[in-house]
Amino acid sequence: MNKSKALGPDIQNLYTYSELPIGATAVGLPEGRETGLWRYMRPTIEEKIPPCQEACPAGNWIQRFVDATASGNLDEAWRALKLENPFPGVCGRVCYHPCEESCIRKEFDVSTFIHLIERSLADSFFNERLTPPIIRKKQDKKTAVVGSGPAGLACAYFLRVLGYEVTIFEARNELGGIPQTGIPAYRLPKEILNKEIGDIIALGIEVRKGCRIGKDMDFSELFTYDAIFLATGAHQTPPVNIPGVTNEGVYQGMDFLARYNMESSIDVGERVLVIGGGNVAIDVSRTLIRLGIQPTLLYRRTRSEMPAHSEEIDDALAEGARFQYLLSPFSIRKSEKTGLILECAKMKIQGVDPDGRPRAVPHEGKRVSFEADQVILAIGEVPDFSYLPKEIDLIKDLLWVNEWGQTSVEKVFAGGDMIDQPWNISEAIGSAKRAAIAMDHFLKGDDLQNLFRQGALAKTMREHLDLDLSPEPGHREVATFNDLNLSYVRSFSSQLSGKLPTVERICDFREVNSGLDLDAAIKEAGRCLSCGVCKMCGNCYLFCPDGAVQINPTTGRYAINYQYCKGCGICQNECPVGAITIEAEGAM
Amino acid sequence: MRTLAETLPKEELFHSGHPLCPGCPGGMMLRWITKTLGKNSICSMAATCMALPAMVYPHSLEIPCLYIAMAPSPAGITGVSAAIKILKRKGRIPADRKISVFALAGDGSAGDIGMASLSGAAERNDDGIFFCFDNEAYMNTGIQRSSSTPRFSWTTSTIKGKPEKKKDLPRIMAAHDIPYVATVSVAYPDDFVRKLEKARDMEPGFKYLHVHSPCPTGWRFPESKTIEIARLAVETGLWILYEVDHGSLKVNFRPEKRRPIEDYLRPQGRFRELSQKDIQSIQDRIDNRWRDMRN
Repeated sequence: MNKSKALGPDIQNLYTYSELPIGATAVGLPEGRETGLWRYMRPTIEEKIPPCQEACPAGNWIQRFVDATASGNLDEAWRALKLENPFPGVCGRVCYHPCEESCIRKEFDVSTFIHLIERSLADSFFNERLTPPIIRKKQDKKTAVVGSGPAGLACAYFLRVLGYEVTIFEARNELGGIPQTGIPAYRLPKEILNKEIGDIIALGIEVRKGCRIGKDMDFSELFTYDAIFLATGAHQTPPVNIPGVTNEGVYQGMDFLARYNMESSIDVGERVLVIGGGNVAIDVSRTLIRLGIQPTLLYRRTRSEMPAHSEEIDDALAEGARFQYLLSPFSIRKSEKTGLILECAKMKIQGVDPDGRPRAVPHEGKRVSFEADQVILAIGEVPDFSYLPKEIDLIKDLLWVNEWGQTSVEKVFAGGDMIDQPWNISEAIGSAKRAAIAMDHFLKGDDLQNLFRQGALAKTMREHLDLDLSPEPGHREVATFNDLNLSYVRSFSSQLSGKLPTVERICDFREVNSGLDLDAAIKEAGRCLSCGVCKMCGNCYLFCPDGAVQINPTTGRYAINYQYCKGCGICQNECPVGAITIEAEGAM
Repeated sequence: MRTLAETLPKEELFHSGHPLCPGCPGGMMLRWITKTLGKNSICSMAATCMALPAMVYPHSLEIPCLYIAMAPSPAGITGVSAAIKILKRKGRIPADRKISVFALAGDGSAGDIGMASLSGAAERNDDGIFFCFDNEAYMNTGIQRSSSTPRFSWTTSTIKGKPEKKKDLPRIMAAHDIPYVATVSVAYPDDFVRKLEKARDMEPGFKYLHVHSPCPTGWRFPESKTIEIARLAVETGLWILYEVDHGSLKVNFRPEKRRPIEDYLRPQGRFRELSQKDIQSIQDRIDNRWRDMRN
């Protein structure tokens, strides 16, 4: 008997193997052993909505552009940013970044400075032509946009991206609305604004300047278009109940800013009073300071109730504006010598207003009067609806629109400061986007009411155009602090961007806030915790004892193989961004 | 910068479907080892938990493996590396073919039963990498105490807590003056793989890696916390990540601020009975150890 034969061919050939034998005994991989049957807890890769994106009124794709910036993929970041917002350079400067208020990193050290990253991206792409991330094929429909503020321009941009022909009607001779006329250059340099407007127009949008609807053209002519978007903003002075406002030397805040910003000069005396506590009042005061005048700002409540942004108030105080609180003007009359005399009632805080703010009431009979060369009233504006046909419904002093921005006339949509929403640039862009998406459905003949009821009306372009990779947009939860595992985060905060020294900034209209350079922005973007959105760190893959988490070759994302997953939950526990949830197997 | 998940080979040589407990650090450890060393490696496997997926049919470990008794896994390194040397000399294996030999043993088999064999292989400086899979007790046989079980810890054979201290095996191995000794933790895969690559690419000789491996079953904590406990061991300063490269010691991770040891002890059922005094004595020991490590 051949002894070596009894040992089998494998042993005989042991020394002639070119490859090492697989295992020392029998060969067999455990593919058929489905250890997934042991599982009683089921982890699911389920991305959540980052709170910054939830907070952004404009619907920016914040996590995506910040993450792309952090990985140095600037083109990708720029595309994600531009997809949702045609005004990154403007928003990076003048938006009051509610995203950073909701940033979860704030609870760890300091919030990620999203606006500086946005601004830095816009600055680094300043000299490049905008190509929108996507332009859909030409749709055979014409649309009209009335007004060229941020809402109007943004709507025109989104409609153009969706493939529609767009015509913008603007009453003034320049485009841009409030950012053009009302925001001083030290906050928003004109070349940044005009570059972004130019990029939008260059997509092939027809512009009719100096065409005021109701005066130069009848509203009914607009009905030749298939859909109309109204965004004429709020420029009208509300009726002011102060005797003497018609006196020479009394300006409206917005008019004052518009005149200065458009003509670069304005005659003012030495003594200027600014009345109001909003951003316009602060902008007027800081413009005056740059003209060499030290204004006095009068406000009926106290500093903590001022609607202006706190940082702006600090800047104005640092630059030398004088603030007097608890004063309410009740008459303006011409002085016998020169100028005006403003009489104010002293106020005191007593009780609460219906809107929740402390109520200011006159302090019994106490008065104070000021002499002034000019008085600038910055106490708000209202929209002008005189040009609208009466079929378009109003509600209180604003234009009525439904949840997707449609007015009571089917083909007319509206957004921006005309409708009931906070008046700022990101809300304006958000309302324009919502309306543009609704107009797209409308022009295709979809039943908007039905779509809305099903929750199928997208709020962002990425959802509308199906560019978001997550399967069920709109049904996801918002990530919270407890979802994250911060063990993988090192505490560091980068150098905040600086401000121009006060002595330098009051001489001219140079930009006060400096941004981050690109390297600093990339570093800052690295601080983003990517709340709820997988950034392919690979923890779930590395730490899975069963090798059950692998990259799905078709999507390029991690997926759990439930054939082998034993449900230990390490992936869920170690996911730094909280993109994995775990629940009892079979639970509904 | 590319992450470890991107740089490690995608191919799995330690296959899914193995019978390890849910949350076992051994599963990830073997995946990282096989991904780093690749197919050109031979394992000498002592009787450990890891022998179950590797050596009981069907096999998860897709590399040649020598299943050996509890004590002689280092002798497996000695034999296999000698055989490779001879086959290369005889021309049966190309002389330039790099074959990594590694042994895998638990803390009991490395530190108690196989101590003589381990010390012998280290002294002879046989070519291979030895992994001590330290889960701080004889887990496979039913959680009995080993010399590596920490003081005060419950096991089935020390139901009132172990009175003796833990044997410091990496320092014993460093005293053998072998080319490379390192401590690693499953919570720090980058550090793990970097050290393993260093050991792999070194000149022939005995390399020793001591893997701190929290065992959900034996340490009595939820299986989802394996990595968390391992990380806490490092962050509290109990487990120090260091390497001794040709005699020179380097601490690889110094926690900026060491967390109190209580954070590590509390979640584990095996330390449930500890008094405040016991905890303080462990804390003092850690503080002293770090004071020594400062220089």
